[in-house]
Amino acid sequence: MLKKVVLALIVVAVLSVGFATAQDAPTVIRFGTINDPAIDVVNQLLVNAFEELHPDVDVQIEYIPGADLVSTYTTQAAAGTLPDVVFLADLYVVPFVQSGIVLDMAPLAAADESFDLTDIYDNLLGLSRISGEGLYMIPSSYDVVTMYYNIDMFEAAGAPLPQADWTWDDYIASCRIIRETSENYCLSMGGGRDSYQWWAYYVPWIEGYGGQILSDDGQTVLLSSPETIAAMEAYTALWTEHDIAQPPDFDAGGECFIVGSCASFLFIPGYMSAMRALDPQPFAWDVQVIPTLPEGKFTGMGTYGFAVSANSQNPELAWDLVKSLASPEVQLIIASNYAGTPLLRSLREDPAVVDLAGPPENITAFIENGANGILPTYFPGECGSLYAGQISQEIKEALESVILGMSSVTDAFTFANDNIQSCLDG
Amino acid sequence: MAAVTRSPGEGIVPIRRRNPNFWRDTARGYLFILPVVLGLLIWTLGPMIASAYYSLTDYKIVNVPTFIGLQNYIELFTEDRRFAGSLSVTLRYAGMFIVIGQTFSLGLAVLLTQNVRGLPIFRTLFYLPIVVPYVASALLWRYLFNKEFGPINAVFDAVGIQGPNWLGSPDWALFSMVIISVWGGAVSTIIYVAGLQNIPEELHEAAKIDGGSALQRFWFVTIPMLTPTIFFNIVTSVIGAFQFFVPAFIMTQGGPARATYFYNLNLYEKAFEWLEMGYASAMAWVMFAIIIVLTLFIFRSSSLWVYYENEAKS
Repeated sequence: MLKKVVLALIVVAVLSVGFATAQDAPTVIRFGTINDPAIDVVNQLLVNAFEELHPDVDVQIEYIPGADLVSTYTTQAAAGTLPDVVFLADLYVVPFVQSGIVLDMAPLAAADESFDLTDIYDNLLGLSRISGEGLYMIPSSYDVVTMYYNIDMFEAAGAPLPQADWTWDDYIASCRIIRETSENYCLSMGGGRDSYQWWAYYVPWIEGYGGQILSDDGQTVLLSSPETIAAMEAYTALWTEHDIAQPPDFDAGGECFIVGSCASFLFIPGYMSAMRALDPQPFAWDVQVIPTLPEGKFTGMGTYGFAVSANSQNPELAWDLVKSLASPEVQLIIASNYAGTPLLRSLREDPAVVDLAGPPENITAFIENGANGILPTYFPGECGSLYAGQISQEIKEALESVILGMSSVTDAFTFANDNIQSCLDG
Repeated sequence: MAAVTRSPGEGIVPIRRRNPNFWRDTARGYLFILPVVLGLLIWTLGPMIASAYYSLTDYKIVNVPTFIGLQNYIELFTEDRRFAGSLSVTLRYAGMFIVIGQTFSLGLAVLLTQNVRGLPIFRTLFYLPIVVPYVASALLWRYLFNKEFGPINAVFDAVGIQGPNWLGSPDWALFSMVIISVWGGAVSTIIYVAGLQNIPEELHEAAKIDGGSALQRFWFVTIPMLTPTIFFNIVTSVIGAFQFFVPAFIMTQGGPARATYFYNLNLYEKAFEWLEMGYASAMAWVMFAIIIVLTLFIFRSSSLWVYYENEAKS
């Protein structure tokens, strides 16, 4: 009898302590992000800004390897254990929304008087939306694909330096001089083997020739339309005819531009920090707006950001952590670190941005080029997107077969068109 | 029925007494093997059963699996253009790897059983590729195969030969994968060394006495006596060849033009990039079936070409 009484008292004591502990436990916001030196500063800025607003709330940072992002988040979503805030990039917006990983933050933004969504450039916000609806990511920067060029390489070849009013024909002509006078290529395809199939590179060409990938009603694939074929013939000619673009099998031992084997590189503003980190600077470089296509200037965009997860038990608190990414203070710090271009219209002329010391000297090219940024085509259904899945694979295979000389543009893109249409038709 | 008489000591059937500790000993035995059995159930059989179920569902991880019967398998065989292509790449790789790999391993094993000075050093050197992590070796070979500044093409250039575009040409990329696998095939070599050392020396001596040349002794004595070892190596090589993934994933991502788009790369893509877990599970079971069929075929054929020393030949 005595044993039972003692046991009961112990149980009651343990439960009481547990209850008291639970009552006193501070609220914790789980902040999922990637462990990348380029983003560490941003992570800390968000945490600092949040702790000023909510000193009584603990922020628990959870690092995830970038390569494991999709598998980790989808597994956590299935288990209901997603962090309150998740890291993502534009290529993840559609799959994360479809997988129920991220919350639509539009209602949170609308209810927050301190947050001005209208101050963010419209075209950039499009990366955070699905068909213009919702708000699934707070982007980090006005990351519009802009031209970096090697001043020394152009001058050594006697080739004209890229100008703001150039067309792609002007660029190609200058590049051919470089190819003729050296073994260097003119257009880097980045560090990836098949970067030529990044939508931000080829979709602008399609729009620049008056074409479309998908009809406005989302029902008909237009990869084999005359305009798209003409655009892809011009794009792939950078390899097959003009021989100025880095071939898929050309391994420069790193990103071709930064190692000095390619004269130019089309990429986002954040690349400035990688270039500036080289000490000493291997060559003089600058940036320029994208050349003009027949229908105008078009270029792609791509950025990372953060979102409130669909599992979050404290979405309002999570929103307070995420929203400061788009605050003027954080945006100016990102810009001062050459890690991006401010995405707020109100900072367009801010001296803290436009007067930043070079290189690049022409830093305002990033802002001027912003207006040329277009969005990737959104495909309904489960056939994938321009980033991943069957649609991306079909287009990649079409581009690859043309660039490797195994197929004509018409044949390759008609084949891709028919396969994607077949998938869309179910 | 005739009575059976037995004289003392003849035909006594001992009376079996049960070990009084039988159940305790049995329980102890199972207790000792319990961790392995649990591991097998939890991490091998359990996932296999789950995979078999998921292969019959439409399952994208974040949704509840929806039973669709054999739809995944039907789509795999009738609609998936990449299935046949990836299987073809894998089969061609397996064919080249087994033939070249086993020939190379056997040749190397013969050299490593010669009576030369420093033999342990050579055996160590040829075994070292095994201990190099797979990812590290893939990155290393990517550098070696570099068309512009890789050492392999530099050697070719030095002798006036234009080296091929190893990883950038659809004609050479698959063969490059075979080279990497053969380089790392020391396990087969070690097994061949053991097999060669187990061949009775008197057989070679008898063949010598009968006037057999080295080549004849190799063909008529060594090879037949080595067939059980060859059989084992072929079976394990077939299984390993169909699981090839890491170098293609790291070095070529299936390119160029899908020349190295292995079946497992296709499966990985479907599972972790397209999130089609049900479909990928079906692919895994198809691969399992293919390996089983091939292994059974090799086993069945072994009676025609594998010689066991203790067999009575009619």
